[in-house]
Amino acid sequence: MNRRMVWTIVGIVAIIGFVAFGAGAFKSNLTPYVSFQQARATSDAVQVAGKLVQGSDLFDEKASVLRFDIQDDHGDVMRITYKGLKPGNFHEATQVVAIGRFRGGALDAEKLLVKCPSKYQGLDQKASTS
Amino acid sequence: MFLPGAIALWAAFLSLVASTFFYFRSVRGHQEARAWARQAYGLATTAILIAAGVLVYLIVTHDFRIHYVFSYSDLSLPTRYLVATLWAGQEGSFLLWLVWGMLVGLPLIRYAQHYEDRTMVVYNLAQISLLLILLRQSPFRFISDLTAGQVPFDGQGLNPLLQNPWMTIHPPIMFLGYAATAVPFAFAVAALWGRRYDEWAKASLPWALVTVVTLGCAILLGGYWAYVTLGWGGYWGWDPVENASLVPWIASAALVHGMILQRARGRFRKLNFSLAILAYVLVVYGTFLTRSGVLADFSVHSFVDLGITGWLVGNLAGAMVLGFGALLWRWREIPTEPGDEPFFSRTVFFVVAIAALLGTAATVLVGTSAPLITRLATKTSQVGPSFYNRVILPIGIVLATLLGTVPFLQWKGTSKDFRKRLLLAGGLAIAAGVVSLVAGAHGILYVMFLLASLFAFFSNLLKTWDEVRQRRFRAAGGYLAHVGLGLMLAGIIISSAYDRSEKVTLALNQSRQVMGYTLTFKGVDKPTPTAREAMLIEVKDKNGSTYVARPRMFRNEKTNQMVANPDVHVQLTHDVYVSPIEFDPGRLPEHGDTLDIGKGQTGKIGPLEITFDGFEMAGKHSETGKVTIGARLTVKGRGQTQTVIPAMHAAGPGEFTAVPVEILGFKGATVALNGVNANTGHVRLSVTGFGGGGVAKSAVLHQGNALTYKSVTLTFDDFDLSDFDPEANKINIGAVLKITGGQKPGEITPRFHGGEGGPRYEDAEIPGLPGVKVRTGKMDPNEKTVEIQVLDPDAPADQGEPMRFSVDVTVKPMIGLLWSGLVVLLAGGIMAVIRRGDEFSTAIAAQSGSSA
Repeated sequence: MNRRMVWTIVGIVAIIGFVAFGAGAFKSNLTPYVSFQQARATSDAVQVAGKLVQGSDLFDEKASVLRFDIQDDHGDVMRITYKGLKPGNFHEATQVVAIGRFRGGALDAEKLLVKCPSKYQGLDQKASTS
Repeated sequence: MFLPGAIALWAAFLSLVASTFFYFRSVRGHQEARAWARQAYGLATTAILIAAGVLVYLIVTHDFRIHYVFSYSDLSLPTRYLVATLWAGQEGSFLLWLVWGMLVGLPLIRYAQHYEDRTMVVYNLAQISLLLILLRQSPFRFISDLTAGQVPFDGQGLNPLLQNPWMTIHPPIMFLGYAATAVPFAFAVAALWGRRYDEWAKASLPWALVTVVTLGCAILLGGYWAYVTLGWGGYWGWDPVENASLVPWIASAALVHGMILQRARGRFRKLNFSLAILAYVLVVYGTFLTRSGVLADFSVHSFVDLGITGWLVGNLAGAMVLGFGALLWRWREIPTEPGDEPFFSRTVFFVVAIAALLGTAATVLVGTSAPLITRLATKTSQVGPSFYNRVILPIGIVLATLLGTVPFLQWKGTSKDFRKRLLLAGGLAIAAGVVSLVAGAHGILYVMFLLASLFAFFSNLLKTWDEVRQRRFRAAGGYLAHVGLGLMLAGIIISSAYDRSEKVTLALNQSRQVMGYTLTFKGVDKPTPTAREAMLIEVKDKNGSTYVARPRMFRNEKTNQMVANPDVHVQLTHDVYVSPIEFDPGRLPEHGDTLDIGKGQTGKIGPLEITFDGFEMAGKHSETGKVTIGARLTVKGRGQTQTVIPAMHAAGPGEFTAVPVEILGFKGATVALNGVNANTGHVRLSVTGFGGGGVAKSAVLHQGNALTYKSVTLTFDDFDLSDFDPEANKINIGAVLKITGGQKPGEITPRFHGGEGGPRYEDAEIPGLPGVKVRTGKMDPNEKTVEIQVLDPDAPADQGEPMRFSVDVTVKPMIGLLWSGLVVLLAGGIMAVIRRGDEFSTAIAAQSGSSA
């Protein structure tokens, strides 16, 4: 075997190893979008989305967590707990996406995403006349 | 459509098409067409600059008929943010990209030499693809459905998070980087087209370096922006928008190394063609991901879908077909030369480094595209930050190790001081590693990454020193850049793997211990009514040195959006990062007692005698234009006499806020001016803090419900509306309560008087319980509910609740390495750009000299 062939083999093995490692990490880190019901039924990391129930948010000083409720289109309500910082547009959000695992009655979120009202909705109504 | 702007865009489009056409004619042998092509390009550049100028003019002059101006700016924006509005929205940022694209084309034409015709055909196509988006989604369109003469008063304003000095520099640098990626792409396709497979790499190396320097700078500026002002707690979140710029940056870094390799060894042509095409395709792909709305559910700041998804997909397909099509077309013709280098050679290390960089890029790419990939197979899913961290950490260790070894390698083997130098660098890295272990570094992979980064740092530092000593300053640029990179990698791993963070809620003036710091919330600083509130937190460390952290939390009046800015206290070894979570303004004490007195009259409350001496209008503390009324009072009690001036400030039309003033000598006692009767000249004062009169019990009662206090039961019977006539401005409501169980059964009616002169309570004493009074609170005649409070002189006075501020305190060790490393990296990168640019011009000069 010449040196070139050795390197080719080493390279291929490294690439296969890396791809396998990456694919494994990818699969184990996937968080599918699910309904509240499905989120309650599994212990895997998932993501759920819903409207913030206004006034439900509270910073629990003892546990140092942010708690709030979100409601989906069917009226189902889910309690979310979050250890991080409250996102900037939290109260204005039309929708809150929480990513985490359901534990002990609430979804323990690792990450929150807030979606703000589109600048393009209701634009023409807002345009006042001079 | 605003005509001047639209005309400029169309003129640019037609000129670019003409330029492309004439360059194509020139390729076909009609050399005289080249001059026209250049003129047309110049015209297109001018037109784009005019278009950008027109848009800035429209923004600065507040022409709110224009949809873009209306959506992203308003009258209150200062000029610098008005100019920044040019790139605040989708359309404007494409225009900025195009401005850079056209400007980059000018030196490109000058220096492209014999590649010019073909390169410019491809380059123009890339510009046209951007311009098409702007013609489809024009920044100059009017708001739809406005009839003639209708102009909005004011715009919707710029997102408050973007109203930040970083907004004025981060996007322009970013888009310069994006624009520059089109150059190696155009060169690569032109080289394939014209079958000149070698010199293009030299010609486009400076441009690839420009991309690496500018994109890298922009990415980290964006990170620094997020870190110091957005309060997201970090500089990097693996968000799709961040990733969309990171992937092309890594690909461009791989391209730079590939080109240097090709230049030195005359090999790896196919690799570089692939990389140059890939880097540009990745930019276009990133644009598609972040601008089409496909990831709207997965990012904190993806743009909204504007209906240009089809165009973005079209651009992507176009770039891929053009680039990879050209590559496949010539694939078999591109010469390849087998090499046979030992493992310890710069050649092999470069190849491995390029592979590792591509592995990193692929990881980020796959992770960012996860929603698209999984949509095909199963449920739409995304991956979290841990995916990136887990996969990239081992590659990072490999890359940093290569980075540390390569300075002392030659292209075909090791340099003679290889062992000595590496031992020295390795020794220094291990020594520094031991120091960090003592300081608390742990975790096998983290420590390995740290050691490798330190090794890279020391080794490149030694090499830079060697070069400088031998007066080869120009060659030092590349090594210096890698010194910075080593520092940055070390800073990244230390600050993210070993940061400590704790959340704490601070009540006003109370100290709390957090991670060895003593934090005391000192209140809210708002020096002028228009200033943004800053929360003052005194932070004292173990050694007793103190500073005041000023994190901010305020409501943007325009959008009513809460904006939080952290406070970053930079120290040599660590940053203390205080980020706001929640602010609770607290509650003032319930009004213990009220006094209604005229000028010169005296009233008694508890041990105090209060005399109203007269009004104090707009004193020296008030702002011009703000109405402030003060009442000068003489307060006597316990042998002391003092003058206090509580005031009311106009908070809005017909709205006043009362600011309570402390009465000295009586703990917790305050007096506030709650109302002024203009007719009688009376003032209403509320005094809090005396031993009694506190709320002993309170409840909301429905009709028929009862509340029991001591032996007495109070049953809510009905409202007394006998003197209630809002039209005559008589808002007097009583709540009839039946008394049972006490010594004297009967009926009492505490009342609330609204209307003229402001709200006033008329308390009713409970018969049989001397001094105990009942007061009405909230009343709801529809629901038939009333809130009642039992006030007992024996109950402790209500102290109110202090304001409280919850913060997240994070100590980020050695994060300064990241930013200082960035500066070193940029300095080295700029040196490298100059060196490679000069090398190319020298080569050109030599060529034209020999051919002449």
